[in-house]
Amino acid sequence: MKFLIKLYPAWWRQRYGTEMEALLEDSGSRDAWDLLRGAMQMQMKTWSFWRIVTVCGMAGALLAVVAAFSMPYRYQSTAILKTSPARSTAYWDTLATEAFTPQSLSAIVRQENLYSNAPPEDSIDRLRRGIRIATVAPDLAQVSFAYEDPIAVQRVSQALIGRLIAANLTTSVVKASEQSAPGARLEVLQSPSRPKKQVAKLGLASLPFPLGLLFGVVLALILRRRAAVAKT
Amino acid sequence: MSDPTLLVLASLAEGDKHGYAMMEDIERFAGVRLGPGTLYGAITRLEERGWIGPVKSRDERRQPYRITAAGQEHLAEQLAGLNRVVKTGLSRLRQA
Repeated sequence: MKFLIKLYPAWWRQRYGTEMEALLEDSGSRDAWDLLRGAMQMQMKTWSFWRIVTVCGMAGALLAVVAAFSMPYRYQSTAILKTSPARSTAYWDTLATEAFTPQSLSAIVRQENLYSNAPPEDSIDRLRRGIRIATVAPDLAQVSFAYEDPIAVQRVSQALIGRLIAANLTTSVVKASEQSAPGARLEVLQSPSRPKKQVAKLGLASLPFPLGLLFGVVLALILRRRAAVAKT
Repeated sequence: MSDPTLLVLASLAEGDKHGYAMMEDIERFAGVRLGPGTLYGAITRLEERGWIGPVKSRDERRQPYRITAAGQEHLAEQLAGLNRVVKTGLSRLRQA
């Protein structure tokens, strides 16, 4: 534990170092986090505003890189569906509600053994969150699914498209979305694509870097304000 | 009352003490075990503000500290404020 005293600034070690050593011997404390926090506070007392900002920014970036590289990759498979005639966004919302019922999604989860560590209700929610339907033109919609396993992701996309086509055949969709219009013909313009990495890890890591910098600025401002109050 | 600086001042109000003696005393009267980093963070701040000061001792490794007049004044102010809160809270609890 005594080696952690070296993390304190030199001026502090010179004044309190031997006392702290004696305290650690007497108390037998093993609270490393408390010492680390104390050392950080003492270091920051003498650091300039920009030094705090830089160190916090670097720490934020380091944490982000570690977090990004410890996370599994996510893959995405996308298909394009065409309707004849063109349909509104409400049509796709209704179609998705009809197609992706809890029973239907639960069957996909079981069949593909998705989210094996999660409870069943949670698995369905996570599967639902992985699905995206975006209308890219009045008669075109992009249906995509993202997951950690590249093989499963394409098969699940295929299953989801199958559910949408089946739901389109039921009259309830037509009735619920556009009562006066005739039913839409739905065709697969592009079958589920090969799995693509959804987000580059370095891209993900670069995102929290500005947040680390922002944290550094806020912390530096707080410390500067505290120092001003202490002086008065 | 969990502010380490107030706990240290309250401990030294009884008499001069070194770090470990303060740690033990605070645990006894407040039920809080201050970590070494927290304790010496508080001691550093209190000494900077002139509320406590080192006392000459034969054992250089176990430096005792003494509360100053300014420190006593600050402690009295803080405790009076806390006392008002405690009294108000207790009387309101009785009325409820």
